[in-house]
Amino acid sequence: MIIDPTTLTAHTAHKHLISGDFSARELTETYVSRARQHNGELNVYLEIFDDALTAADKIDARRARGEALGPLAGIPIAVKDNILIKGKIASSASKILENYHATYDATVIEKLTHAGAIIIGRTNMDEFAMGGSTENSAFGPTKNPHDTTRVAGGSSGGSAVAVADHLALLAIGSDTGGSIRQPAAFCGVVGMKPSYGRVSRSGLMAMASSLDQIGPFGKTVEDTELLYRVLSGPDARDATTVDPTRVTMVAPRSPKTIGIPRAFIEKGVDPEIMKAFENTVVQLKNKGYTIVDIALPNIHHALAVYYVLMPAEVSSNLARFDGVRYGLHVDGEDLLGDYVQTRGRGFGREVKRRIMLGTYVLSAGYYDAYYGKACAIRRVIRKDFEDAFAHVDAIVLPATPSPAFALGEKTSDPLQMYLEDVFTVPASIAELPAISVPAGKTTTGLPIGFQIIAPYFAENILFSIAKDAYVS
Amino acid sequence: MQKGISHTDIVRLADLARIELSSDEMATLEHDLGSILTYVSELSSLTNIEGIDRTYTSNTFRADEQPHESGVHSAALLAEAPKTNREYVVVKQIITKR
Repeated sequence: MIIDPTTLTAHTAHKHLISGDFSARELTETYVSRARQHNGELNVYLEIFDDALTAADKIDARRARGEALGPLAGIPIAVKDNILIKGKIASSASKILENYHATYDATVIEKLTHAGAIIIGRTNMDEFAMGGSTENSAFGPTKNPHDTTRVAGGSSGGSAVAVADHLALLAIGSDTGGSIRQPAAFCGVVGMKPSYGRVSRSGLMAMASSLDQIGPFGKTVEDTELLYRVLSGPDARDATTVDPTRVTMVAPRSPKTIGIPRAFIEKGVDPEIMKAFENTVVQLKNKGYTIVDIALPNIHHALAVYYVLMPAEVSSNLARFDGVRYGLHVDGEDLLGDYVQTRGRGFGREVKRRIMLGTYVLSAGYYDAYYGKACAIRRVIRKDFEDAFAHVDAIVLPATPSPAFALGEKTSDPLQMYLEDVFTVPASIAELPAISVPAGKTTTGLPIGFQIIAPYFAENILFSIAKDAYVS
Repeated sequence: MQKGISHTDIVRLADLARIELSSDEMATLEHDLGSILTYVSELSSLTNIEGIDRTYTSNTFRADEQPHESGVHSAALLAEAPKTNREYVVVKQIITKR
């Protein structure tokens, strides 16, 4: 049969592969060739893997022998460039790691391979996942397929566009303050950040370790959930992963009540985004949900908390790039000269900005005023969410305050770029699972995202409501 | 209120962060850090956080046992190092003779 990437989902492709309507090789060839055709214009992939077809052949051979195959057997998937794949370059879209080859597989890569997925390439991103537009990539921005003069969002922009433009059936990204949900919203696909501790970060390049999570992108909620199930689970190689049987949960029930923190969204939201948000809320009401107003008294401080904690952790985590053990080396007069010149030459503008900011908030005399205070307010915000979840099963917000902005529009003003994260950061600060699902488009055809936040480790509630909220 | 970040602050931070910056970069950072710190300074006015335990995280340790066989990863790791000599990573001398 003729393969049409624009209509396939991971679920439908899986059925076709099982019925023998096409082979994993044919499916992979279709996506690889489309990716090669579109990559010049959109700059989605930093590399498309030549050995993807070999991997597909292996799946076909195993299927022919009647072997039991994993849930993603033969499904082409794209991987963000900050996740290690043994033997492949993993650059985090940075000059400092331009020629770095991963020496081991991230745990999620082992899981994907075990499930039979075909990894077809590594995707563009903001350098070290720092940014909300993919314009901070050292290798040029990724363009939005709905309007190529606009950004894809970020930092996982390449992964979002890979799914949105049908250049892979699924993709994985990482989300620290919204880096999966925001590009998913800008590109009209589903993107999900699991609870902190759900997915192993072994083999993910650390940006802000108390916030980073790997998560899935898909065209549908069902596809996204399928990929999430493959990725999640405790891992001895990441001590922050949590055994779900040790989490105290409310008794499982079908979600009925949804809360909206009205005071938080009454100002600063694009009218078209607000209209789409209200339409989706009405749709949920029509499907039997009770909608109530809730108070999250300190949520408006989440962004400031984030822009203290995140750079503090960035400045610590990126200290490892010193030109000695891996990556770029620039020769200076002495060892210190090697360090400062390697880092000065290798890091881009935003990375330097965040390292400097983090160094400031952690430095003597400022630590208590910034870092200490931010840690305390983080706890308060988390407690606010816990209190709210005593009355509601989930909380909803717009995914972003505005639709995809123009390339170059916010690059000269970092604070304006940071304000883009206002609705995604709260769930990150509170370590909660959150998802962005498509909620229609603006009059000019730009996608809009609707965000759902569920209690800690209640991903089942998240997916259940997301299926009712999705507007195709 | 614009949070004051001086040129001296930027020089000191760059030194602490081990990053060489051009004078243009320093000027931009002076402005950017000032405006970002002004924004996050809303936190310093909050008073409802007295008595909150800030250190709610805890360490998780694995048992120090079952090491991998010595040397099995050395070649792959050394291949990524910019300068090596046999099984060593080469760095510049840091202690000088009197």
